[in-house]
Amino acid sequence: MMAILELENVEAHYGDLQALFGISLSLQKGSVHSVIGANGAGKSTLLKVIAGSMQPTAGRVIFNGQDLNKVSGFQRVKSGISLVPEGRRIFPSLTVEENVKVGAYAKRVGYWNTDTVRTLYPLIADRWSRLGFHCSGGELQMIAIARALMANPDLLLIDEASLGLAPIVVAQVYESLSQIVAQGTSVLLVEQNVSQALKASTTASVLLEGRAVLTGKSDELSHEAIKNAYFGIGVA
Amino acid sequence: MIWTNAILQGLLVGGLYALLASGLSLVFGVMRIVNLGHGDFSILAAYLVLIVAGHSNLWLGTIAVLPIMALLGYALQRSLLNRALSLGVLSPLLITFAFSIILQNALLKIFSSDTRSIQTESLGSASLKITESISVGYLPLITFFVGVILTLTLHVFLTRTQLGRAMRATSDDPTAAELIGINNRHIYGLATGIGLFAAGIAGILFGMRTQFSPSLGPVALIFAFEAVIIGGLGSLWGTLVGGIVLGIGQSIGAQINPAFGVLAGHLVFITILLFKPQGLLSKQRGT
Amino acid sequence: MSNVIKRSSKFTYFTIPVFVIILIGLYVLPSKLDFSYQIKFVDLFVLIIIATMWNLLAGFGGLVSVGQQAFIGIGAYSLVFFTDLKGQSVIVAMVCAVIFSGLVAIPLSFIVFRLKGGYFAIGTWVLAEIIKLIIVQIQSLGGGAGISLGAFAEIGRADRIKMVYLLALAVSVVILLGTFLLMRSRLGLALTAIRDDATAAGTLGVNVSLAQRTVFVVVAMGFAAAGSLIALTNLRVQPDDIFSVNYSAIMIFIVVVGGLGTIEGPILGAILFFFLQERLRDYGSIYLIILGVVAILSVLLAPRGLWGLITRDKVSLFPTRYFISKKREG
Repeated sequence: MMAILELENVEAHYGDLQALFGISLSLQKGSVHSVIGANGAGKSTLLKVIAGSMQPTAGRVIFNGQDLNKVSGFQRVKSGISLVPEGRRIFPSLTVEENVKVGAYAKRVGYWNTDTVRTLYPLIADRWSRLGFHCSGGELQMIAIARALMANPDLLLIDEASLGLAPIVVAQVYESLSQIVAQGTSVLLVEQNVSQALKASTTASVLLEGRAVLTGKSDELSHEAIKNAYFGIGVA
Repeated sequence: MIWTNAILQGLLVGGLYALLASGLSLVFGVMRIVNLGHGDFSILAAYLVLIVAGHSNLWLGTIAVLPIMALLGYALQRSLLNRALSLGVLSPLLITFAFSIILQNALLKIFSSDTRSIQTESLGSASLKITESISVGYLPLITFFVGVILTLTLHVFLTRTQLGRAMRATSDDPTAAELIGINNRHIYGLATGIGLFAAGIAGILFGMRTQFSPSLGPVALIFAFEAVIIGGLGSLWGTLVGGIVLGIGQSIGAQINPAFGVLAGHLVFITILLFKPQGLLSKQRGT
Repeated sequence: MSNVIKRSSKFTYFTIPVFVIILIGLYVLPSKLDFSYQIKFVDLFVLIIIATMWNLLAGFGGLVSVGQQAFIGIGAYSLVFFTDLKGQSVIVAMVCAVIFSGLVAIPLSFIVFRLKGGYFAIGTWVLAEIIKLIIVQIQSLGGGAGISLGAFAEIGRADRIKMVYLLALAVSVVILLGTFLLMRSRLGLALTAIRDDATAAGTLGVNVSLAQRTVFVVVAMGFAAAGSLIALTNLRVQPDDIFSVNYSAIMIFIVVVGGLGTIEGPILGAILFFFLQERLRDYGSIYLIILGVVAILSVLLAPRGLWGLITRDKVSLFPTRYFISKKREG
């Protein structure tokens, strides 16, 4: 199995503040990897570095065998990486339809188009002509994922998949993940909701203060180990 | 009858103002930049056509100059204004004001302050007789329709094309736009390119019907600006309506007293600003 | 060691004596120099005044205006009105002109504050044009041809220029000190907060619109003083000249190149511009083109202006901010 994404000792800074310390990671093609951790652990920073909205201060990001060093954020979409950002960031003055359609800007071919995303999320079809500004949290999340899918990414990054969402909506979102993976997209998921994350992913990492303190197969990680890693109990 | 004629003439002039204003409005809508040199760029186009037409013919001149204006807009945005955008709100304003000063004085230096006009053979003075006492010039009529068509085209472009959607998306949230593969710097360049293209059309049509000189740039800017405010920020059709209202206001004012025309327009503008500051057709966005 | 918050920088002990010395020198100048030089100084003082005022409005107040020539014109015409038509002495007339300009600025602010950002800038320009159009209708003020100042008819040229010189010097000092004190006051702090983030300032209890309006009115008065001085120097006021947008071009150039947001910047910029103007005066339009290009370069490459470049933000001759110094205990 090929690794679609490899991180080698990635470091990142916000000015003088170091947010990521030597993160190394390998994501297998066709799998789902979740990154768990408390607020401020560096999860969003990690996704930003992969998506290209932030430059790492050290280390390499290798996607499909290509070093992304000189590839800027918007170019990475064309290469096959799409990020669903924290806060969803739907364009408020565009309708749901327009939000979804503009997602295809990078013009990548694949399974996902306006029909298939509406099949994935019927709720979007209902809200098709509604302005982005008027949509609720759950709708926004689905629109955001649909928009990202329209670029037919090889790698989908989702930041805080379930934050602020009602449980029923969270369930729908997670259910859709398996269909997304089935169509050939690998997923990197950032989550605060540990149990959801583990259920949905093949592999997982726990970040603590910018370091990956625990990594492994989701079904092999014990609750105890995760808890300790998450809270930094007994971690050097 | 005199009044009907005045209103009609004002309506047609409004088309020109709308043409001038649409470029200004688009650039502001996409990146919150008010190009203080907008009027001067439209006058520049008129002068460029003069130069080209002097060597060949008029229509070739127009066809050549418009893409030049678009390219100029794109280049200026990508080289100077994009950098200014990241430096804060004052910077783009100061730079576009500098553009205005540079353009005016460059044109003054090259062409002097004598007024010129673009010769159009018969078109400039030909008119269409509508009734016994009312006739409209072909040129003002054409200008009006070009104004409407441009507004329509821009509207369709922004709402029905992928690039137009991308432009609106970038306007809403530049960071999120990058996340779906949009190159903001390029989009901003395109917006200014379109803006100057529209300014060029306005300038050329204006130059065909009136005498112009380098100092007319600021006047053009002021009229374009008043049209935008009267019509309402954020609304393309509003800009068209605003231009028409301004044109009619000036025309009626001039009918009362020839020296009063421009001032009447200003008064209409101030009245709207005081009593309906969001404009006649305002579409306040959901942000 | 504990931290102490001071309002003066280490240069203050240098600035005050130097400033006083320069002032004394300038005061004594007329008796030493020919009046043609005195006129040049008046020009320089006027440049410093309009630059300092524009900086107060834009650099400190965050309001970019390209229409302040409106108040220069109002000030000039008011001066002629109060001396020639109302028979007041020059100084009284100037005070009246300044106050009148401030009063006019109040209702104008209500109109123009409906606009924000770039549209506010054009709005002020429109206002200047409207005011010019209105004044040109008034025949008793000379209409389109302008009006001459008769107030000095009896005084000899040398005395007149010396008087204008001293007046200009006094006004400049008042304006500089006034701006300095204003920026050190609560209003100044409010302005800095508004400029950084108007919404946040509002939630902290700053009355944003009142603060901005106050600055707008104060600045209008400063420009009126400049306009009066121009009228006194030229002995003639012409609408196309006194309401020209070139004044805005000049004041913006001076502040941008000198250093936006500092009190020293406009002074430095004015001196620089003054020499440039002397050098390039003969080249006509070209010098304005050069100004424009230099301004663009300055905005992009030296956002803190010449003063910022030279001092690297470390020197503050007119400190308006707060400084933390470590003081030994005991």
